Amino acid sequence: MPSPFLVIMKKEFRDSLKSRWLISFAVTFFFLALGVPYIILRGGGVLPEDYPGMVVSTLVSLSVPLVPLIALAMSSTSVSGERETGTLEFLLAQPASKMEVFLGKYLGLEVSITLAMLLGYGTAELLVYSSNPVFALQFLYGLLYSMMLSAAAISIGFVVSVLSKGRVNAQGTGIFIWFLLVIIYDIGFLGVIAVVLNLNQYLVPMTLANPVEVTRTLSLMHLAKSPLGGELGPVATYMNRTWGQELTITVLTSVLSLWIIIPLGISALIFRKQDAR
Amino acid sequence: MSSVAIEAKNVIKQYGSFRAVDGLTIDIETGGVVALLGPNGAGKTTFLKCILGLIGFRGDISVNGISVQDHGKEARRFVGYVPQNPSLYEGISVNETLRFYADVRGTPYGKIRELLEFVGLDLWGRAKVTALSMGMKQRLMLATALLADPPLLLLDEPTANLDIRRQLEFRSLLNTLIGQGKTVVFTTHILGDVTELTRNILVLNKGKLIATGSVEQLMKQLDLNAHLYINLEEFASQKARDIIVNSGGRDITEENGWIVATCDPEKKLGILNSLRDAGYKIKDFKVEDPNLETAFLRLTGETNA
Repeated sequence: MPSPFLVIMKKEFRDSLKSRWLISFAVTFFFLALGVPYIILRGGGVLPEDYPGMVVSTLVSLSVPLVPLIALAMSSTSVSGERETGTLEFLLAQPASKMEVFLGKYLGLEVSITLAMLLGYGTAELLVYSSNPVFALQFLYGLLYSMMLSAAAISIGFVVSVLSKGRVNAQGTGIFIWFLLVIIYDIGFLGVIAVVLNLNQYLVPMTLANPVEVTRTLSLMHLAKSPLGGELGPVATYMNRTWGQELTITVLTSVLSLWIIIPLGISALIFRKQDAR
Repeated sequence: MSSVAIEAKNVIKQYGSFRAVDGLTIDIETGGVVALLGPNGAGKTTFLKCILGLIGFRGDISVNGISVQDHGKEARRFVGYVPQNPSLYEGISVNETLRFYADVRGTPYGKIRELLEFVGLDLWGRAKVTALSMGMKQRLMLATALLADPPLLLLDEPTANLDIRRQLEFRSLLNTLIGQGKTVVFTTHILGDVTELTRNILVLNKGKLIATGSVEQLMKQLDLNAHLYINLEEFASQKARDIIVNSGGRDITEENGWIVATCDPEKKLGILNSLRDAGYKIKDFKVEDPNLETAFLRLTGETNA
């Protein structure tokens, strides 16, 4: 007899297949990883041998913002959407615990988005990056961190979802959080403030306080460590000098893991205490 | 199985300063059929949600002897629930819906066909839920609630969104289930639901239990009567009036050629039969039954006073 947790997880996954968003995201990830120039250059028969090395760093800067957008948009409506239609209440009226329902929904979404990334990035890896072990390894690191980032974004999205009153409200909040984490940080807004106000000591905590920045820094550090090389930003350079490369990677990976666990724990606690509405 | 299906002790559900359920203590026997009545906001639905453990509350509720607060999942194994508004996943088919909830409840699929036949949806198994009418969705909800053959059914306004014909069909399904010995607790605003399904009514107002009994007992307690309008072919003689009085009618008046008699709701048919047996030809008649709204107003008015 399957547990309600597995049944709900399976349904979430099946729904994502049925609604075809999983396929569209996989296609998006595929073209993102491949790079549009690949198609043009390959079509023209002028694809350079080191093409993967040329685009792998671009991949980081393109993929890192996209992954949380998809994950936040999907997860922020996961609980709130079902709450709005009443299906959540009916599900909780069955012999299933709140945690079984919650984790079933979380992991169902997590598996779906991970699969979309594996399909999209994996196919691109086979087509382009597998030709060279260095490219392949860097690509795999990128994939691993993207998967962790998507898990963190889903966790944050679940906090939004359990706290939001309706689907639209939840989606709006989810997109706003993405804007805050990606756009505001990316344009260096906070960095500029820190420099202008001479608050450099806050740059590291500010990086750690943003899972997108943690992922970006991690990916770039692996790239810089590899024969492909690459430029590190001021924060990563500072961390490298202070802690050393290995410790920095360990710290960043641990912080990214905490970004998965802590919001997930918070949302689970809230959901458990909440009335089913 | 416990002889008490639901045992609620001093149940309180508070939203801010508002008490939706205010110290309810109720025992519902196994096999009993209970209607929860009351005006909007009386706490009927909230109480059902407390029984299911869907919302937190103070006090104790046990289902078949199992505490809802401590072992909600186990307690819900004994319960089938039909909410007021069908809450179904729209993108999947009727069969898929039933298979999903059968999986959640850990029940084999074998019963699905039988249940679809029972609720009259056997030809709709492959149809998407979106294609179903409101009445069909309500019947699908009932089939879902019956998947694991639970001994207790909680129904929240099960006929509220249905037209008269569908209401009758739904009541007939419920009557079959009651005949099978299931414990049924339902909320309703529709008098027909109550009179056809049970003589055991609990009236709630402002979260408190304010009256119990059958429809007739409540109507009598509240002095609510039916008004019978009779149009006879011939002049309404004193003899006709006497027959009406002897059959339970009172306060007889005449309005535009109609005899108007006040009577207990269950005496109406007797009055008409007595007139017919005495040789009077009844051209037409109308009945003005007391309704639940009037009863609620009277009850809550008295309580508030």
